Amino acid sequence: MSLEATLEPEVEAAPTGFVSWVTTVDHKRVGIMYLITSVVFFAIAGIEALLMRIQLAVPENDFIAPELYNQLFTMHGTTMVFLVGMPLIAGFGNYLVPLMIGARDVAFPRLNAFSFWLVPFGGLMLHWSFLAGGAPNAGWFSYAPLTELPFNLNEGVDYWLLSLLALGIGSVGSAINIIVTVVTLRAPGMKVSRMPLFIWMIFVTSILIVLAIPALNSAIVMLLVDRHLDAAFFLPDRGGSAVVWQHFFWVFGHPEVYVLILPVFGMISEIIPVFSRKPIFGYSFVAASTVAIGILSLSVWAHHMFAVGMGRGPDLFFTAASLLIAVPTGVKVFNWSATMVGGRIQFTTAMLFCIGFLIEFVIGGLSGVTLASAPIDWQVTDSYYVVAHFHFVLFGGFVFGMAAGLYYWFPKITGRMLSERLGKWQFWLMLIGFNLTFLGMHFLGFMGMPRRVFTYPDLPGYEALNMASTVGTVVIAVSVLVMLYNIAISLKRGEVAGDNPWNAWTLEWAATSPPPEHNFELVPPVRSRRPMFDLAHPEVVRDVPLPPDDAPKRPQAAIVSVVAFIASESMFFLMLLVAFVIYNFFEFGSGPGPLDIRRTGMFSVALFASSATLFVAERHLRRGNGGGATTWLGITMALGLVFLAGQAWEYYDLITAHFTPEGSIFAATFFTTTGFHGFHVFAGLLALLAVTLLRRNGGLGKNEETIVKATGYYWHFVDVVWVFVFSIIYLGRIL
Amino acid sequence: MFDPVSPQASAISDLFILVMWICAAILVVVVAIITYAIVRAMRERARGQEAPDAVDNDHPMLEAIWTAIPLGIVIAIFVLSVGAARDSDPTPEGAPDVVVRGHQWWWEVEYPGKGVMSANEVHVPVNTKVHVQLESGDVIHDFWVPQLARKIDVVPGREHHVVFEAQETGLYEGVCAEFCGVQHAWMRFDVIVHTADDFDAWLAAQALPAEPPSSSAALAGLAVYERETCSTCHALDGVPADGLPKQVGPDLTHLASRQRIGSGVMVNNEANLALWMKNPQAIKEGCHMPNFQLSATDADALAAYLHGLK
Repeated sequence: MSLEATLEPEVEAAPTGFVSWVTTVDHKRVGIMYLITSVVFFAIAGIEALLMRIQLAVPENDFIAPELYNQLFTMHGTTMVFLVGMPLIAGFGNYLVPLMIGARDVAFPRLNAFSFWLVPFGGLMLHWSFLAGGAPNAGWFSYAPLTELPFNLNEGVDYWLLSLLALGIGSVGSAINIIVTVVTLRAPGMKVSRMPLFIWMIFVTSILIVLAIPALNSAIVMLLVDRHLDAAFFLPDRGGSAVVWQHFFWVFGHPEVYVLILPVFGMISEIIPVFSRKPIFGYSFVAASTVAIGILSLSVWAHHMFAVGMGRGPDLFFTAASLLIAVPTGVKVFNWSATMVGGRIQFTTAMLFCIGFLIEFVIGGLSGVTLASAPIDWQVTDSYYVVAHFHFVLFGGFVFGMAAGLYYWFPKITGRMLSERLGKWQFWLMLIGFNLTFLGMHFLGFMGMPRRVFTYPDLPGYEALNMASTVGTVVIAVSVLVMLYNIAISLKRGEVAGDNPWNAWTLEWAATSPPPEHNFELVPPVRSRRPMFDLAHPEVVRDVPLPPDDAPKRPQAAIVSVVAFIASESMFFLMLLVAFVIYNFFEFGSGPGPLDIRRTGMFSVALFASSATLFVAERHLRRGNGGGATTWLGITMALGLVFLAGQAWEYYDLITAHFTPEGSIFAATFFTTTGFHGFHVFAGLLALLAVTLLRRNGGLGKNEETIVKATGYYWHFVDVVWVFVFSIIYLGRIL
Repeated sequence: MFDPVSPQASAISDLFILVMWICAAILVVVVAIITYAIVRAMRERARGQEAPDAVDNDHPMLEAIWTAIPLGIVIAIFVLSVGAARDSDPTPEGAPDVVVRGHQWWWEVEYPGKGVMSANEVHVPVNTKVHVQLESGDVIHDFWVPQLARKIDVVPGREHHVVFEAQETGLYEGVCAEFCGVQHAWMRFDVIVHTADDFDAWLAAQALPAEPPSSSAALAGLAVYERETCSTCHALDGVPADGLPKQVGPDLTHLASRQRIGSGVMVNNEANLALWMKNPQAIKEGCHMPNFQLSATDADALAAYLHGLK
């Protein structure tokens, strides 16, 4: 079957039944499956939290054994971030992005389904550890060397590493999909400056995912190499470092915080205006501040490490950078508040959650300002104050915002309204429960109670505050039950929603509720940021001509996706090379290894030559000489194989000479970096082979040139990486 | 931490209180704007005023103002932070007065050059700058005494330093603040601030060798101590060891002088010591001291001996 044939729209009614869901590539169904998955894991993580709070209700309690408690807080954090937060974002993102930009589907529906299925896969793998000898027990940050074999024989850590790798790959796949969809599939007239703010924010989030996840992946592979090939990246007594893991983890971990919160900012920016009956105050400032936050978020990771003892200079640098983030965030808060001023506010459940979000998030943001100051952080970090802070951001912010999104978009997704009466019960219960749980934790931090403790001594004030917190958790649990009950009964008996129950303004409300598989019969013209408002008020639409369809002028999906993928891969290799430089040129330095630079240099020539031959192949293709292209593609692959053969030869010699990862830090960094590069060359070869074979059967159709070009980008990228690897690892040894 | 007893902790506390006032003011402003919007909307609805949906909603001047003001505030906080960082974290001078080593899950406390080795208690003189050097025997720990000093990680392969000057005598709670494994919760310690004379007396007493057993129960306890090879992990001055590594567990030379056992898990008295000897795993599950399956008689004898080690 040709590629076009599979893209033909299906006109018949959407099939139903279990198999149709498992096999679906429809962005809406994938989105719904993401949302359901996250609700399931939200329940699991919530039960874990309840168990922890019962244990902490009174001092020196023995309800839960210490080892189990440590597993619970590790799983609670990991689950909430990777199996609740990320899938919620991917779920709403998948469901809403094509609808909001007037597209039929995401750019790569099958990649989308694949990305989704990695979530239940990763989640099951992570939870399988409970049955396989114990869940991971070293916190969601898994600080080395506590996670190294000498201190942790628990296989849960390995499950943690592997499932995060799987979930990370899924997240990057999903993020690339969103990026390509936003860049290439917007409706005619939807200029960047007319995109809904939710689109802006999920776009920035997707870029952050693409750049940040590889940092985590690089740390994960190093720890895996330590645990399974007996290297010592993070073992100080064997020449490693106990601090490098933390840097790598937080290079991922801090952007991750914004990955979670930015899409919620986007939701709030859609919902508050609709229920204030006013456009967002300062659209361009809200959008620009998002970009500013995205950029700044990549430069503040070490504020999680003020207590590590990095020294005065780095501490103050990261203080300044972290404090700066308060500015664009503050801009957003003022814009949301100003949007409400003078508006005809409708106090729907969604709006109540938005107002709750605003206030709770501001409290969390302000405690974040205190934490950004290194000297204050030296006191409060790793205490319950931090637990309070990030729950105000992630519960008061993220969960409240997501609840607003649920009440707002549920009618679109299901065709039925959620009960407002139950919704208000949920809101007030959640608000009271949340504050009861987390407000007092600030004071526990002031009193010196460290976090991640399974129990505490009976010091003055500890018991009352902890007990209040436990009671609050129960109230939260009740509010979640109200929500689940509301969803269950509204699915069956909820009021029928109609296309646009809120009189909202963005394109998703032009589709029926729920939308058909192809989304729109006709996408309304986009003359402003609020196409549905224009549709309802022809009298106020100024005479804006509908711009011509600029879709053909947009970049091609294959190219955008490969560029985003290369950005992600660059980050991965950058981190591995940074590790190489840190370990070998700065702190540690374990002497040059027995590398045969001349021989590897010769094989490198083969790899570099393969870039040139690929250029020739592409030129033949452009000139319509298909046969010539096949020949030169073949030569390219042959050269790639020669390089890999050279690497295999080199590895054989080194390993028989007992130069192995457990021997020295140099060997560990050498094998990790060159090994992953070799793996990428191999992947590139497979891609070239696939392209070559598909071409022969005419499977690439009219996209042939673009797809060969996109594959070529990747191949050239692999060669460029080798320029750096060879210069730093081989030539760097001579200098 | 808002009850500081050193200039170092005060520097942070003062900054923190000031920043919290600033934050409170910002919170009040935001809540006021939102409340105003809500009240106004409710009042207009009560009056039945149904304005049409607004079309435009931009005000670049306001945006500039609320970009500039927060920027000014964070710059001010940064400048204050630079000063507080300097005052709260003085650069250490000379050799350390105390070396504290973090272990899973207890603190080794050494007074270099004084021949004193203790555990889970850091004794210091009042009104004196004390320079503490921090090392780790295994994973990352964190040394935190909220009333006296900043917290600082105890990182294997590195030496960290913290300096503080306690201004009042007394006992101050300390904890390990970095998650370090199964018994992280019971890795507490005490900082005990003495007058100069008391401190010297304490130091002199700690430098003495262990007290010989004075009762028959204690004598029996010493026999158990030697039979069960306690010295494989614990040092005890005056009792010969077999050359194996020391300081796997706390030094026991003056165990009875300490306030708590198991890094805070129990009050240090003879009954609790006996309980601990019977099965430490029942009290501090997962700690590195195994259950030696001692009989009740042996455990009591051992407790009697150890409780005599004033």
